[in-house]
Amino acid sequence: MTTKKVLIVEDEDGLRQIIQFSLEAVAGWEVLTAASGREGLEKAKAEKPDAILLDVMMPEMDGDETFRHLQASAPTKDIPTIFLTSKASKSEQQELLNLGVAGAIAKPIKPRELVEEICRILDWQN
Amino acid sequence: MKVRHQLLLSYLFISLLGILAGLLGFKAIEDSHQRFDQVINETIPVKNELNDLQKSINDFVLCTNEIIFLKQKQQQESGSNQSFSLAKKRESEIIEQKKDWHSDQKDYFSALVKYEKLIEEFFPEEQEYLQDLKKSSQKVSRISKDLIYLTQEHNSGSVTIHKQQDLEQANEEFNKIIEVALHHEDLELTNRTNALYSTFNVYKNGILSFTILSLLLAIAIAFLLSHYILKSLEKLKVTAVAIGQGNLDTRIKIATKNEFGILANTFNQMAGNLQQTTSNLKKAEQHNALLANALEHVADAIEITDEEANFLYVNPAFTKITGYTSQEVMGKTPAALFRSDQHSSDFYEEIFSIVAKGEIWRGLLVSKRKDGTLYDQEITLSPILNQKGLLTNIVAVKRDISDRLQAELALQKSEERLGLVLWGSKDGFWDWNVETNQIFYSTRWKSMRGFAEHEIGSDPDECIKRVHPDDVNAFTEALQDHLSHKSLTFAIEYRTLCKDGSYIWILDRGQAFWDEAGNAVRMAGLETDITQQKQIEATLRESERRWRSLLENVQLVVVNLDRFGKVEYINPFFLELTGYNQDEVIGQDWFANFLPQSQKQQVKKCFLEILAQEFYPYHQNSILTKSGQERAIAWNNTLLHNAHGEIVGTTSIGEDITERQMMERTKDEFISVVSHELRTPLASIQGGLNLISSGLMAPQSDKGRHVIEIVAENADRLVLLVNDILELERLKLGKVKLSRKTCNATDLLSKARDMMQLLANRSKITLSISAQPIQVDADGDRIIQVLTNLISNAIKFAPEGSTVSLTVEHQETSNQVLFQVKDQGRGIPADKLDSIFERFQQVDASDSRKKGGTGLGLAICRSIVEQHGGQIWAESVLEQGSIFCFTLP
Repeated sequence: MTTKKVLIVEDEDGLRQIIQFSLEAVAGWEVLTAASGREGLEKAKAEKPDAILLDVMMPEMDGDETFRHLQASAPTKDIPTIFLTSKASKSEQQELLNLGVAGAIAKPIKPRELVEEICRILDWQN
Repeated sequence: MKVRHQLLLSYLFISLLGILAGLLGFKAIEDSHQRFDQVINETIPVKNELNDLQKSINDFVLCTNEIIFLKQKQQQESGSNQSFSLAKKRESEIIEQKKDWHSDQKDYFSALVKYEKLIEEFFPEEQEYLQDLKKSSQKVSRISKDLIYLTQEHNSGSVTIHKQQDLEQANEEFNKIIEVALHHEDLELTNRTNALYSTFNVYKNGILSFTILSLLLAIAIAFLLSHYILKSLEKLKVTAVAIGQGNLDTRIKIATKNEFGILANTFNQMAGNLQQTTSNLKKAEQHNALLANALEHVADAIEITDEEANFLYVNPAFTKITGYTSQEVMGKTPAALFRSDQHSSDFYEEIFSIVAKGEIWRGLLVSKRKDGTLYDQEITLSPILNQKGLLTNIVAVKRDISDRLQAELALQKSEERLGLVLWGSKDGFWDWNVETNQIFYSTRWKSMRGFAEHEIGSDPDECIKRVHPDDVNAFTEALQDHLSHKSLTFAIEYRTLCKDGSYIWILDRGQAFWDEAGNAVRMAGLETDITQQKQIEATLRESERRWRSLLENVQLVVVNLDRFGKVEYINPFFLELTGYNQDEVIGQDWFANFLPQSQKQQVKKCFLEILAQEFYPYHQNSILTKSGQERAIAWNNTLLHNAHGEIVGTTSIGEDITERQMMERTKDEFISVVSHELRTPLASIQGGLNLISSGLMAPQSDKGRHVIEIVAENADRLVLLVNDILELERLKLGKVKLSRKTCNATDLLSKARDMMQLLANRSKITLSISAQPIQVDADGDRIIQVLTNLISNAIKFAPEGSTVSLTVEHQETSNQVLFQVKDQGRGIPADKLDSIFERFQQVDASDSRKKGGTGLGLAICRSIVEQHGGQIWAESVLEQGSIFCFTLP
């Protein structure tokens, strides 16, 4: 199994690092980070990650909009994207899934559970 | 004018015309005569005189010439010695001729004088001719005279010849002149004759025209007169024929007073008399027929017998009552047919003897019918006596009273029944005899008013005087309207006074009866005590009024729809809410007009289900205002039923929940934001701690220490956030009590500066104060909290080395204390100046991470200032700085 390359788009510095450390430590994936939607788009285009973890509530370009841009661009439109959200209720999550993302994961997150959830959603062997 | 007078007048008129014609003829003859005279006596003599004059002159000239000729001859003969006798003869011839000459001259003078006279008398205008003639004839006469003198001298041959030529010339001139005069006279004669003829013609035509006109007039008069007479005659004839044919109503219409008028009147009178007689005759016949008919149709049996009581006539009622036909009884006696054994034969004898004496007998008898059954009858036997007082006939009138007896019994029962009904219904009864002006009031009528039977008489005033003063006009008006046929029945509700001084409500209904002349003779009616009903009505009305008032004033939408969804009622709140007026709503289809397109189907379905009693007491939908805005309404529905319990529509009461919904949405959004704000640090804390606690990361490693730092930072942030949220909620809920004291504004500023000085130093920022000793009534700690909050914001956004200035001043205009915190930072966009005071609304969402802070600081400041009764706002110029201001009263 080749090492997966995952892009994290999260504006909160601390959280972004925690997630990065978690994925590296638990799954050993190669982790790329972006602190805003715009940066995320650029990195996604440049690095072609295997998956993108996308924070929903971000200033300027929020998760929804970033996802729409990803979908609109040929190089990135097939990259599976998972939303990281603080919206906990089922109906709110369903709304997000309706946008066409691969899945949504609610904060807060424990590192192992996070990795398991990502693998489950993307049907990856870990 | 009478006809003979008319005739006489026409004769007179025609005679007058004749006389006029005669006079005209006479005048014509007179006139013609005069003109004829003029011709005969004037013109012709003149002409004659002219002829005479001409002749005399011509003779004169001839004679002169003759004398000259004779003289010349005498001279020739004297030269040749002619015989003396011849000379003598010549001499005598000359003498003779001279005589003629003188005679001619005389003739000429006389003719001239006559002519002159005539001219002067009749034709003075012809003086010219006269003068010419006179001159030329005198010239002839003078030359002739000269010639005659010449003949007496010798040797005058050449002179004579000259003179002779002159004479000839003068004569010719004269003849010319006289020819002209004659010609003129001829013309004159012709003119006068023509004038005479034209006069004749004028008169002839005049007389002829007049005669024809007179003739025509006479004919016209004759025609009109005869037409008039014939017309009157024709009218007489037509009427006579009509009357002859039996149309006795026919009358002649001639209004004149002449003979025809008299004739027509007499004729009309005759026809009238004839008609009267005929009509009397007819009436008599009708009367007889009526009598006969009456006898045939009388309900009572009528018998006529002879003096022996043998039947002569019976009427059909007789057959009906007794069962015997007319043929069956003829010639028989009543005794043989009807006697029942209920009466003795002496009784019958006595009856007959009374009648035979010529007296009327009346009584009751039990008789036997043809079928043997018995019946009660009332009999009147009337004798008919002849002039001698002897009995000739008996007339019997018999009435079967079996039915009547039964009817009387039935009436008695009916009255009992009516009495019971009236008593049972508790209605009072009254019966007014209009003619005697007495009213029968029933016992109940009296007791309704609290009176005993004997306490009220039968005067109409007993009723009227007790009618409530406010109702008495309506009462009498209704009564009059009915009595005068204006209203079909009499019905009125009124109040009447009771014995105890209270009023009761009465429903009075009555009916009048009128005689043939249309005068009311009787009126009767019923009265019902409706006091209780009236009270119920009043209660209902009050209830209705209350409900209506509630519906009109409540801050809820109330709408009634009929079964088809049409608006039947709408309350003012709906109109106020939507901006429609009542006319635009009532009768309109609710679903088509007042609902958003997207909800029409669903709401209509819901409505139909409500009608089908699948009850939906509550539902929510939006309505449209007139301007097209949607308002969310929460409905509470009930069904409307009619008196038969059938569903006729719905009543829906709706609450406008638009604002509430918006608030809920805002709240949801807030919760979502809070949730994010809380979960983000929590996620870092949880993730970081888990990395370490699960052994994925060694705490002592660099990464491990970094993770612990992140966790600690986020924990601090979480604490701050939770504190602020709780603080804000407490402020919002009013749980924070202000402990207001009089504080010195400068002290407050100084304290705030001292607290923030360390932070300022760290950012290399100067804090300056410009203060006045102003006293404010405030919770000092809270105001310091506001100030430190604002100062820390200012420090965060101000560039290094800049100054944040704090000021306080008293505003004279509003009598408020104004605090200002001014920085030289990046400024705030105008569209954010208001929203930054909302929760979690920072200018840049990333600020909370970069600059710290929870996004609640300004919201807390606002709550505190507002709780003090002050205001807070921000003013800013981008890239130059911002001023945060708040006032305290």
